[in-house]
Amino acid sequence: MQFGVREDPGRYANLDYDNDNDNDNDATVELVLCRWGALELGLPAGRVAALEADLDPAAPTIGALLGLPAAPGGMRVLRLAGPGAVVRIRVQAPVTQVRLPAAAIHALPPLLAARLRRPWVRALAWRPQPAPGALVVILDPGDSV
Amino acid sequence: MGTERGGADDQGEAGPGPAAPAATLDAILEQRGRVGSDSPIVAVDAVTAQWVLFHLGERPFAFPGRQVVEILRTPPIHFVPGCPPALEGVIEVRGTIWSVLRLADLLDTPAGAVTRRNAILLGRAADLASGLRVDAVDDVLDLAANAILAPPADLAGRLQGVVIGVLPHRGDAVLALDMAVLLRAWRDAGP
Repeated sequence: MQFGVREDPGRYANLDYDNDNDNDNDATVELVLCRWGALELGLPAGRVAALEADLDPAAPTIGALLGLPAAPGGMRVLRLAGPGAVVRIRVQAPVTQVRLPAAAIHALPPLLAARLRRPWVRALAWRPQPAPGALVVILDPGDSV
Repeated sequence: MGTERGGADDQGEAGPGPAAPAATLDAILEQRGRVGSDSPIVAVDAVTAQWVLFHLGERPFAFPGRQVVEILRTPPIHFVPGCPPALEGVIEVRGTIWSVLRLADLLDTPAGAVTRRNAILLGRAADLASGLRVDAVDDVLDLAANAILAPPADLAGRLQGVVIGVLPHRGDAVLALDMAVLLRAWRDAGP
């Protein structure tokens, strides 16, 4: 899936995590990034079939799925497709697609994983730049889609 | 004034016997000196352990130093949706992501106000690890094992099993905690 517009690409231009002055050739992960309030969320790009306009305000939001309060801002719809079904879920703009090195991906800390109360929260990504660093909560619909 | 010279000088040794002569002061001191030179003094260090002392609200606590990897001033804590209330979020420390638990919640004890003295203890015990927020770190001490008193018998609720002793320190009774027991109980409490 390709988006027509890659918003603010400069934030993600520096993939030189090992400081060897070139883009890393290590294993990478493609994520579709979106927002909900102050949270930055990511989904594996392979699970996102399309980006659509927000034409159905009754469609479920990612915020409701995660138990978060409503957040103002422009909305987009991600169409998630899997072996089970097709799910449309509303997320906050901007929506971008990025490639992160494997080194940026972290498993959930064990105590958090053991007591997590929400589905779909799968992993974390840490982007050191711009400082002081930013956390991306990686979601995965798993077999629900 | 005559000082009897005892038989020890004449006989060359002092020892038990039916008619042992009285030892002289010189002989005794000489013998003590030989004992000192033949038996080197062996320094025996008391076994000590390091403890990290901190407080939550008005109550002082301590963890064994071997269970505290690092002490941090509070870095930015990042929220993760779906965390139970005691788990504030996660922090990044030199490339590693750590969970951060509110220790006061785990112990069901009142926490103090948020101040600049708040700290996060990076703890590791058995197979578990987490950051633990405390109100302030008070001290890091080396204490002999016999300085630690038995835990009180009337501990309330969540302190039972977690408190492994009492450290007397500056007039306070500091409750010594076992981080492995604490984290395991929280992990196993269910979602």
